[in-house]
Amino acid sequence: MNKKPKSNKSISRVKKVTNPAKERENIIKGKSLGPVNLRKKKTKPALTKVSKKITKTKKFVKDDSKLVKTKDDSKLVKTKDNSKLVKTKDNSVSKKNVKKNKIFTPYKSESVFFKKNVNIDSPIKANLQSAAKKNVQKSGFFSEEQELPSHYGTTNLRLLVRDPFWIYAYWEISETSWKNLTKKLSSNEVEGAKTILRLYEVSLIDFNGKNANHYFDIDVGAYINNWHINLWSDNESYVGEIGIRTQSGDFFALSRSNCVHTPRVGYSPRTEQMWMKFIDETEHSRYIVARVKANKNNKGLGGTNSNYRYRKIIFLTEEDIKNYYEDWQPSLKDVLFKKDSDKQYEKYLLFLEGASEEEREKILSKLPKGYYIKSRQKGASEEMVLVAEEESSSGFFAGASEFASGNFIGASEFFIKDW
Amino acid sequence: MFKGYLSLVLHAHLPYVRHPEDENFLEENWLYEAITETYIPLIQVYENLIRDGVGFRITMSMTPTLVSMLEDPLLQGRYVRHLDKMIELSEKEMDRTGYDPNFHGLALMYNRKLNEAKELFLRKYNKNIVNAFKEFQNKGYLEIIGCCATHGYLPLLNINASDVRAQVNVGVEHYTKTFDRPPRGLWLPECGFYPGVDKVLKDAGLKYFFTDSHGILNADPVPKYGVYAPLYCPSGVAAFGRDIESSKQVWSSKEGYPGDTDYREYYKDIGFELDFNYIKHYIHPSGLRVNTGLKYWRITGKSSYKEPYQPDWARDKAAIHAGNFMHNRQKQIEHLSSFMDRKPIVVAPYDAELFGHWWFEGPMWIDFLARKIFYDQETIQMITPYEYLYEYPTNQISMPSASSWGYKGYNEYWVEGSNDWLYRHIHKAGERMNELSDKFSGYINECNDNIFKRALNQAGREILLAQASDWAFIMKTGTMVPYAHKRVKIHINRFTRIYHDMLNNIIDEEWLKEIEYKDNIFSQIDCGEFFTSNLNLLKQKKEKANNL
Repeated sequence: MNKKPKSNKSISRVKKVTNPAKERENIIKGKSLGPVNLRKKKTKPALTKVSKKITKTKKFVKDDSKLVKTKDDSKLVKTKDNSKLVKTKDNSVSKKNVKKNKIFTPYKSESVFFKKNVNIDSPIKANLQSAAKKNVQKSGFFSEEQELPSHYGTTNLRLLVRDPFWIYAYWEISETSWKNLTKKLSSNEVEGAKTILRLYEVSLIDFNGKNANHYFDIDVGAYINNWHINLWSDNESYVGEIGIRTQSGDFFALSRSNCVHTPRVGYSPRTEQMWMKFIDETEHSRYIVARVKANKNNKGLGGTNSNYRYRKIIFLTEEDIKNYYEDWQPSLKDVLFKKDSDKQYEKYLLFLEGASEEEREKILSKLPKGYYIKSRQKGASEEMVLVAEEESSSGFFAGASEFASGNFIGASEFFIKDW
Repeated sequence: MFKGYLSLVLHAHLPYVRHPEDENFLEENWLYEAITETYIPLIQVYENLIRDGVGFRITMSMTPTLVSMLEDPLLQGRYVRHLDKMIELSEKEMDRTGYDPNFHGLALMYNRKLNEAKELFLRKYNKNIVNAFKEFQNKGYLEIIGCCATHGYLPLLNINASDVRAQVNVGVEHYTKTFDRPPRGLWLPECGFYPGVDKVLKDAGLKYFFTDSHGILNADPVPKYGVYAPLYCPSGVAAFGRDIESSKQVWSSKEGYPGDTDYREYYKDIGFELDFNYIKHYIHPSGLRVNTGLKYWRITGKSSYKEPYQPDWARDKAAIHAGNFMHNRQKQIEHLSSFMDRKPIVVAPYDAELFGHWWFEGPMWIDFLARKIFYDQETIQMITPYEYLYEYPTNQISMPSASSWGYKGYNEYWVEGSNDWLYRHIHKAGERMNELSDKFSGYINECNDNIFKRALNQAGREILLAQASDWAFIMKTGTMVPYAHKRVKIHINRFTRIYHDMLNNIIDEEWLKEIEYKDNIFSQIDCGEFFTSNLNLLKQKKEKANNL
């Protein structure tokens, strides 16, 4: 009997991953290129201990149109709604509607309370009606690509400068503001009132609501929430107010905006010159590149490899350079990169840096007695140790000036030799 | 003796596009193209100049989003895979062009370039080319300046002062962590300046920034030297203005260098021209044709008739144009220095992508320019802005005018019909982030597993990603608009959910982990802290960082 080879019908758009956490790690480290099967096991979401009011758990459904594997792994089925794919008794797959658990959120985003009894006329009524039709965010449901909310429930007006001659304004008027307004006004006034955006030109003025240079109104209507405003002149300051104006001409503002300044188009008329000198004293522009030991493990002698040496940039201050040139020292390059003599003791040089006092003495005791050491501050923060030979130390006494300059530091003050 | 200075500024930026959930994401190609065609050739040019001992100075600005992408192991791995595919394609091309005298040489050239790129990327810099730029900066040839965190357009984010502060300070912090020293200057996104932003820059410790020419020329009071010397804003930060003449020579589509007939044509790519079955493995898997970077034609003229590309002719032209640019700058500086009592500085900022990606011979042009300036004349010298300030610490105080280097010179490109609806959401989110930061920033000092700290920082990241000016830019230019819409929606929705969750004290840890994994920009920085209105907190943080 010939058996047909099993064909693998699964569509391999989503890689089969056995261990998602490890795969994720591999991606972060760069070992694998993704993607990771990001579906997790359906566990309860982790609640923090502070929450007491929450009684039921939330169920979050991610990106709706993802491919979901069914239980028998034979094909991938798209799920578009909040229903689970469940195997029924006759082993077929059918959808079952899952209950969405609602949750009480005191800081929920605004939902609309629409009262049918309110008997008001045009712009206010229109606003409430349109607000009722807008999307209400369903509780317990989150999709990353859902539309951004069309209203946030606060009344505000904001101005943005676009150009020397154009300003962009956007606003929102919440229902509570409309309600408050209707309480104050009589029905006569409300009828025929228009939603107005008023702009005050307030260049060089401390605006208190009444002392603008001039103002103008724009009849924006109740159905729109932004406007591009064209101006007549540049280099001015504007403050805006959104509100309604009755037929008799009274303007009731609901919100005031921020103050914006339009830029100037041409040269400034002021020609006076003011000058400032600014010297930056924190910058070290001059530096040396030195070979130093990394202070990673301060183990002292012997245990560390020569691999710990690396090149480091040491920034020099004015004092360092002054010190350097005051002494009768050879060039820094020779001192730091000396290659010829004392190779066997080079390693001790480097271990002395950053080592504690005991370790220093340990190291110094290991050197043959004829050697003398000077520890010296080179650069702003690095301390280096130079090894010298015994021979002409006495001869050196006569001519040295650095003894007098007092550059020795540390407890072990030895005499130096110049080479 | 030198009579004046030329300061060349290259602005390198890419929006943060990283999608670990999808193996072949189309928009990640922007990064791969930029690395192959711009950053690696520029690194090669700098290496050659340093090796030959040419004393050049170039300023580069690298935005935190670009640097994060270049240092991300996932994207590095994907880039190597992309390079391998392209090398394979170039080998196939070599076979296909066979004995064709016009195109075989070009196929060989592309193959060589791609192999060199792979060698440089993998062996020399171990997949992290930011180290190359760091090395050039430490040697003193390059000056790298910072940029705002996610390239947010500051004049339109000004409604919430915390937004502007966070963009600048997170950018500065990221730079300090990457390059091991604080930045000296900042590249304002799109050169968008408004009076008042200089105070924020001063508080962050920056010393200079750049504006467009009319920002300086319309300054109040009138600048004595025009754009040819920096101005100090009243807070003490210096502003350098762009020079129009030098920009026009390179940027202009009509009279600029890149439009010359001998240069390579950008719009004729084999990804769009060759047979589908041949090329389908090398374009997007869904069948969408994309640029591969292998192009065989030269511009030849304004009509659609194109002739084969001749690399030698293009190279000669690049040398001629470099000489021409240098000659024009010489004449300009000689003329200026005759009535200026100090040496003028000509600031020439460009997008780094222009050199290599749009204009294939761009890096060659920079190479020739640096060498000619160093060897062939003694009128001008290349300089970085900080060195100019070091030489002339006394400058005029004046407040530059609000401006940008976008189309029409102001903010129109980012707040017009296609993208003005964005701002109500971004500003609202900014307000909410300010509120969250004020309430929860006490948790920043806790250990890293504290869920409030994680949620606060992740909220900061989401809102920084939503504030990027790239989305508004894409919506206006009309390329890849659905992607920009999607990005803004996703980030603001995630932020809003974190906001509600934090205030209700129910944070879904698994979901938080997932978005921490997907949006992992600035993962080493506590982004949530920067949005406080409590300025003392930021100052204390800075002092701690300085003392360490």
